[in-house]
This record gives sequence, structure tokens and C-alpha cells, in this order.
Amino acid sequence: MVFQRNEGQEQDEILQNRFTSYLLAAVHRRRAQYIDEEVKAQKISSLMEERTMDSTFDLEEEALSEIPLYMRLQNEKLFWALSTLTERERYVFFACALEEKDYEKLATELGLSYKGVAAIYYRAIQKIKKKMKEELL
Amino acid sequence: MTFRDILIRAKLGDETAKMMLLEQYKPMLIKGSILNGRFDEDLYQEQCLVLMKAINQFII
Repeated sequence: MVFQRNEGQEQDEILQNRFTSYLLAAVHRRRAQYIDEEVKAQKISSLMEERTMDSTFDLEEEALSEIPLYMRLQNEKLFWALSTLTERERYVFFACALEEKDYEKLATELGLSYKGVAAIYYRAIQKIKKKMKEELL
Repeated sequence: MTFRDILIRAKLGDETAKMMLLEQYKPMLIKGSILNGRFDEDLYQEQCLVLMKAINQFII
């Protein structure tokens, strides 16, 4: 079927023209809406970019100002508590808490059983807690 | 088959009638899918949906 311009005389032709103009209006409206949506999406994405840039800046600021202060306050107590641990306890504590190694790896590394490492870690934590409480008192 | 027949069939859900209308109005849909001098595939899909909606909502 070929789309041809008709005379608009017959009933059927009138109907077809009516449908065509109806559809044309809808198509134009959809196109305008689509452009609007795209502009909005661009605005939002650019806003989001600004946000993330802001937040990374905030994070950096936090890392530079807040955390070191907090660490410094805690460190004296913590350092003292850590100094009372044995060499092995300290190693296990740092490996678990900071490097996030699992007990199994540590066990093979140190030639201990899984439970042995867990016990050392637990004991180290208990010692640190105890020492830090002592300091507070 | 007149345009009215095709439209009524399409309204009733006849796929061939819908395809006939899509073929007939494709150039208009394509023309309505041009953004900044470029054919936008996503918008063309939307325009096809517009046609389907128009078929359903148009009052004969």
C-alpha cells in the first residue's frame, strides 16, 4: 500500500486524513517530550557528577582532618595496649584486623591450627580491651 | 479494503492490519524520530508505540 495524498472527498478519505493528523500531532508531542526527557536526564547526570565530585572532596577532607585526629587520640592508649602483647599476638591481631587475612591462611603461615589462630586473636583482643579499660580507670 | 476497514481491524487487534498501518505511516514516524539531523532509534521505537496507542485511542 502506498501512502498517497487523497482528495479528502470520500468518507473514507476524510477518516484517513483525520487519523493522519491525529497521529501527526501525537508524533510531534512524543518527539518534544523525548527531547525534554533527554535534557532533564543530562541535567540530572551533570548534577550527579557534581555531587560525586563534591563527595570525593568531602571524603578527602575527612581523611585528612577527622580520622587522623581520632586516631591520634586513640593511638596512645592503643599503642600502650599493643606493646603489652606478645610478638605473635600482635602479628595475628594486625593480620586479622588490618590486612583482613582469614584464619586459615594465617594458620598455614604460622604452622598452627585454625582454632589456635582464632584463640590467639581472641586473646589479643581481650588483652587490648582490658589494657584500654585500665588506662581509662 | 478501505482505510476504515483496516483501522477497525487494527483496533480489534489484527496484527496484519496493524502492520499495514505501520508500513503506511513509517515515513511519518521516521520523520518524527530525527533529532539534531540524526535518526534516533530509541525515539523511533517510541513513535511506533505512539502509533499503536493512536490506533487504540482514535475515535472513528
